[in-house]
Amino acid sequence: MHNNNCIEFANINFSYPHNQVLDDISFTVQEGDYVGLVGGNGSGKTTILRIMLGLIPFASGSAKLFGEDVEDFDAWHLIGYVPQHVARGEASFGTTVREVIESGLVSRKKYFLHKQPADEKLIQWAMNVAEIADLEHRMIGMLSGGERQLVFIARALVSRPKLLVLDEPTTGVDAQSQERFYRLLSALNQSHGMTIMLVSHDLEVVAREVKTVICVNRKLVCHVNSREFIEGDYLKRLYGEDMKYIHHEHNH
Amino acid sequence: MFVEMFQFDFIIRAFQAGLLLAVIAPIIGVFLVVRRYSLLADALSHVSLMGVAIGFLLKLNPVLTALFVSAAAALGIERLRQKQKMFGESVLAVFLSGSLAIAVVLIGMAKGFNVNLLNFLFGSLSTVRESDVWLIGSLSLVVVAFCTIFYRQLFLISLDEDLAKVSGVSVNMLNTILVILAACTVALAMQMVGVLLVGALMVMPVLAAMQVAKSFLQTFGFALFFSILSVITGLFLSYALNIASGGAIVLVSLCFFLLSLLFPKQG
Repeated sequence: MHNNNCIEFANINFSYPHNQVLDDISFTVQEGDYVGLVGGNGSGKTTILRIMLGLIPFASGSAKLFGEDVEDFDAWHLIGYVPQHVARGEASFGTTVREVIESGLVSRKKYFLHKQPADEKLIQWAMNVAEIADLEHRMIGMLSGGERQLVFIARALVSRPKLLVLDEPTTGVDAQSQERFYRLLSALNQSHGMTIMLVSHDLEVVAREVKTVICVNRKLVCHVNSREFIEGDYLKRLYGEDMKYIHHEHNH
Repeated sequence: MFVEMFQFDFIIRAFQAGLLLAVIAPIIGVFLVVRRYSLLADALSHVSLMGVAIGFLLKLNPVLTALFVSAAAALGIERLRQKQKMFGESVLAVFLSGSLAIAVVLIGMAKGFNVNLLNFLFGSLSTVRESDVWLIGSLSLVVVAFCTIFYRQLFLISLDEDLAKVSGVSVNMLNTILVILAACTVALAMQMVGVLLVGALMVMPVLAAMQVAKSFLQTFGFALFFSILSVITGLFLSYALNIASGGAIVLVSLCFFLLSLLFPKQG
């Protein structure tokens, strides 16, 4: 049966020996949403992300992407993933921005080096959307943290995904680059109708940018819209009684 | 002199085998070096020595026993790395020293093959047989086909395994095939380059290429160029100066690496 759910988690449990990380987590994310997945250190948000992407098995429950069990899911071109750090993004790897972006074609089952004209159009589109066409032939290891994250967004976009998943994408990125980055995410969500899940510990960003907040602390604390999240007592439940939300405008 | 050396069949065979190895060693080597897995070739070469010792002891073809033993070890290494029970480099250290210890014991048990063994340790032009050339030729076809078809997938695995998995790549399967092909390359290159230097043939041209290349694809081009030139020059030097082929080839590739350091890397 068709529904509009991108992500469905039902009664997910996950534990390491002597340490339960996720306890009966259930939520759904609908197409077109812009969701912030928040929680403190060790709250389980990265584990949720890894289960959702099929990177780790879970003990019990059900995890679905676009209505299909994660274990059986193979339409990976529908998912664009931007990790917090790339394992070998350093200068010595010696690869160009264009090569990194082209690697996004892999999820469309592309083999060999050969590209069709449609692939080339996708690459140009992704670079234009991320506003990095001028970086095309630069070496990835020589870019700033902000530029590099835009490259990995472009890499994620090249398969024309319906769901974009980002793990702490602005860690170590300066304020100006962060603004450019979140402007791009808003445009992708509003103009391109892309569903976005942003994993972040930055509550300021989450409150300002996203539509919906999923807050976890081993269990699901709340799944509400961002205004309700700020105005409710969820922050106190997560961080203690002394927690206050102070809004700060970024006009600089 | 360089023309007259090709009157000898063993020289022609050495050049045929050498040129094939010069193509496949850096192709595999690129994917190992960028993952900081260069020591895999060294570990597998020591495992191959154990295979050679087993071959001599059981009076079997030592190249074939080296091939099987090193492919089996490659499977074991990859399995342990995938299960993440140990650091990748620790797994390599266990296999490297463990197989060398077994090889030393086996060599001690079977006296009388020390001269042949020296050829495997340091490499020799005269040991390459026609059947070896055919074996290396077949392996070359498989390596080139595998790396060409799965180039993008192997690139992505090298960049980040999680990114590759989320792109639907069968990471474990491709990694396993890659290390088995590395093991076969090491086992077959051993006769010409020698156990002690075979790792350098896979790594040195790649390191030189990484200094001058301006893209990942260019790294392959430069690595092939340095590797082929090293093998041709090394084999000539080996014949002309009557020195071990392995040492000559690796010394030439070391020169290329040192020269490459003069080029400042730009982004």
